[in-house]
Amino acid sequence: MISLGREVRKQRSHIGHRVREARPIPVARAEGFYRWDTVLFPTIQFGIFFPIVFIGSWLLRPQPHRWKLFMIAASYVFYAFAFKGSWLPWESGTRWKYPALLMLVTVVDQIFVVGIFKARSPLTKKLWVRVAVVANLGVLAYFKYYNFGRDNFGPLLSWLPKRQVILPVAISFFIFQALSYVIDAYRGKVKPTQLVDFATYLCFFPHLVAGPIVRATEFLPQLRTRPDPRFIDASHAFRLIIAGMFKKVVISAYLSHSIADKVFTNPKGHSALEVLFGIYAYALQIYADFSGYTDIAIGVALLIGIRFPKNFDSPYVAISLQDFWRRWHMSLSRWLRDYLYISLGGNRRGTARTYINLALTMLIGGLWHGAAWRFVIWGGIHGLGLAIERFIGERRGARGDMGIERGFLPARLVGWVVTFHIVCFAWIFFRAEKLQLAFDILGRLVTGWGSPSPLVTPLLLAVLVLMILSQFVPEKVMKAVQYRFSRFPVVLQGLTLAACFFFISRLAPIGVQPFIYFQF
Amino acid sequence: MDDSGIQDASGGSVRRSLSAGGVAKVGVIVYVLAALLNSTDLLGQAERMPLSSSTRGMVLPLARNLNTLSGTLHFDEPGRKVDELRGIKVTAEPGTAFGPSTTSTSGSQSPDTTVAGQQPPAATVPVTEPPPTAPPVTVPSVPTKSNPLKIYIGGDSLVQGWGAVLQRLSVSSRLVDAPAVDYRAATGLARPDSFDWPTRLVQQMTAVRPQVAVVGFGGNDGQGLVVSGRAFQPGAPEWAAEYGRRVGETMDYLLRDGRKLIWVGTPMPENAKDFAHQEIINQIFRIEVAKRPSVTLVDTWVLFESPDHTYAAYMVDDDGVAKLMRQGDGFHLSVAGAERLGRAVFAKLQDELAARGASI
Repeated sequence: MISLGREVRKQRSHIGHRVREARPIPVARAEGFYRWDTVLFPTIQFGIFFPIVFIGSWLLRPQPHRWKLFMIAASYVFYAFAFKGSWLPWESGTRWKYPALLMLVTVVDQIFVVGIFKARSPLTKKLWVRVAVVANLGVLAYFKYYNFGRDNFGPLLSWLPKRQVILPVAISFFIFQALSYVIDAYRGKVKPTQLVDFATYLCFFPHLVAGPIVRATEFLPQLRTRPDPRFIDASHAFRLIIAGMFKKVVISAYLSHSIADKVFTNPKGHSALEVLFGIYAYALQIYADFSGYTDIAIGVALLIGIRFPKNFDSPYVAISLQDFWRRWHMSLSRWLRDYLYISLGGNRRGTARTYINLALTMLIGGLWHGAAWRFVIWGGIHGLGLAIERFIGERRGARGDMGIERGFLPARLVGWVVTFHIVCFAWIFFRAEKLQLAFDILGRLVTGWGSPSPLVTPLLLAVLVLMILSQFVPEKVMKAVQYRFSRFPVVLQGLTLAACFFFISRLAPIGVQPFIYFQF
Repeated sequence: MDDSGIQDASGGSVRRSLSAGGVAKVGVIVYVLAALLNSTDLLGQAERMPLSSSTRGMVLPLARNLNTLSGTLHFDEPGRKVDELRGIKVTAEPGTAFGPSTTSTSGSQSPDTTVAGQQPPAATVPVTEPPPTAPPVTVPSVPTKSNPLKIYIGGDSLVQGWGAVLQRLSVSSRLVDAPAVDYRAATGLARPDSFDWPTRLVQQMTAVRPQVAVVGFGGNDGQGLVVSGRAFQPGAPEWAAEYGRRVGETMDYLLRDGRKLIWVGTPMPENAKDFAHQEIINQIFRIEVAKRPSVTLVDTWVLFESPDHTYAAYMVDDDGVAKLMRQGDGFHLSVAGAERLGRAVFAKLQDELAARGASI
């Protein structure tokens, strides 16, 4: 399909072709067309899928083995829905290709973990874990970084053939989860579990596609205890699902469509004010989108009796970058800290090495999001910021200062403003589809003042301000609401939730945009 | 409901838990009420699914009955009131904004195959009553930096990439005024019930009053069409005739009032089934353009095919560097691909500028 050599030799510009010869229209077989029944959480398809899984799950809960098999089957169907193609596994365009990859990763990692556990010498254990890490990262590297590596490291990798590698949805998430199982087994934190348990953990549909990144040590013990069907933390689950739906379907869609997409696709066509608010809007859009997805995922899992760790904790109230990373995509931050930063030596190898490890962790964290220099720059900004913060913190600590988090209100306010703007600055590189556009945005922020700004409307300002303010609402207020709700009779709970769904539906635009984090 | 509670790790208030049966009861209430209150939206979602999708076949009859029940019980009133408060009206007949057509796609369908018209569609696109024609476009004058050529850029998701490039190049030239890229993902001319492009174009031609319209459709149009109550798939002669009619009507409308039209085709897809559909669609574009000398076609298919006329993910760009032109789905354009197509479209626009006497 890709005949690059001939293209080079016979390259011709087709620009200028007008109307090609009007050939007769080829008559094809009436064979239907693509299925695009992707199961996103806020869709009819998921509305059909979930009640079946919920009922099946609780009916089978008394029989753990059958429950796991049922959950694996449901999760693989959920995953297969994410792809186009035939449902028949033997057809060439089958949608089971990537679910098969997930199955392969599951089986191979189980073999690695058993190998680590049975190894008699530390050296053999180390060998097993190294092979496992290389194999997992190899799979990730092939699907995610093949073309990036070939295009950017030509002299080293130019021998690789050109090919279009399709990035399977969820691969970054399930590879990281598999690695947590392997590394925890090596560190003695987890013992090899049965293959069916590990398979349930890796493919469990609520976290499969876009996290949170749940660790083996958090998930596997829950398979050994049988949740009581009489005690479901439903009010918490409902709150997360409704909040997640609102953030994803209403807020994220509005911010994206009203300004963020427009500014980031054509910064030169917008005023500096529009560009500035487009950046703010994207910062809140990605939060609403991603935290919305994980809120729904956590809520859905809770209804099935499985608890996931929290993934977001009002990240835009952060008063330092370190504080931000304790609140943003917490499951990834913890993963990077425990399996990458600590593996690199953490802060145990001297000051200089600590800074290098910090920066390296963030750079790799950036690269995890995608094979592009803009993600590396995004990670680099955060890495550099964290290193500078650490440097300042250490000097202040030596002088006996308490640090910004225990400082006076004005200092915390300055910290909040600076942190928010550094995070927004980094988002520019994260969102811009190519580096030049990121620089155009920055340039426009300097040169574009004085032009009219029709995209900056009172509604946009209100949404942005309310989204920021909502981050400052104390958790105890939300818990009080949740407590009140939990005391409602069942009928009233149903009526309240139906009303919430009604308003979300009325305020939502047509169609559901894919979640931003699906691409990672 | 169970009186047992759940306490947070932080020691907060004890919440009352629900049993699985209790959750199921809440779920039933939510599903029934939310479905009745949102029946119009659900029907719209079901109708927007691909015609031969098994999910659509299952969901659509249910959504129709639900919509009827909702109307009978007046459960659709709150939604209507909220829409009214938001200034949203529902279009009466999607896809007919250009005026009456000879082979209406709605009105006489059997209930099993109806795409549009059988039930009020769930169009929540803000619309005003569209006039049949837009006001006359300003008389063509020589485009200058103080009097730039006004263009409209619109279409499906493919337009997002190349439209942004075209807009950027236009802004840089200062001879072309391209106020926006009016793209809508997952839309086209095949499903006006999903997104009503005819109405949208009438609105935009009235509001923007462009001298040149640059549009791109077809990426999502490789799906069934309903003609006189029967569904036809791409490849059927009836499908080609109906799609050709829609393309032709769109072109004719956009050419009104002395406007010029640049029609941008779709690239060759990697997937074999899509390839067949897109080949048909592009052939229809060529045929319809050949009938109308005032329409300029940007033959995207040719622009992105390999020298042996097959799909090519990588191509050597004008700067001599081999670049990945497509996204992972084997159809949408990468940044480099959008750049290549955007430049090609801008070249056509420069021809138009030259024809109008502009000094480029």
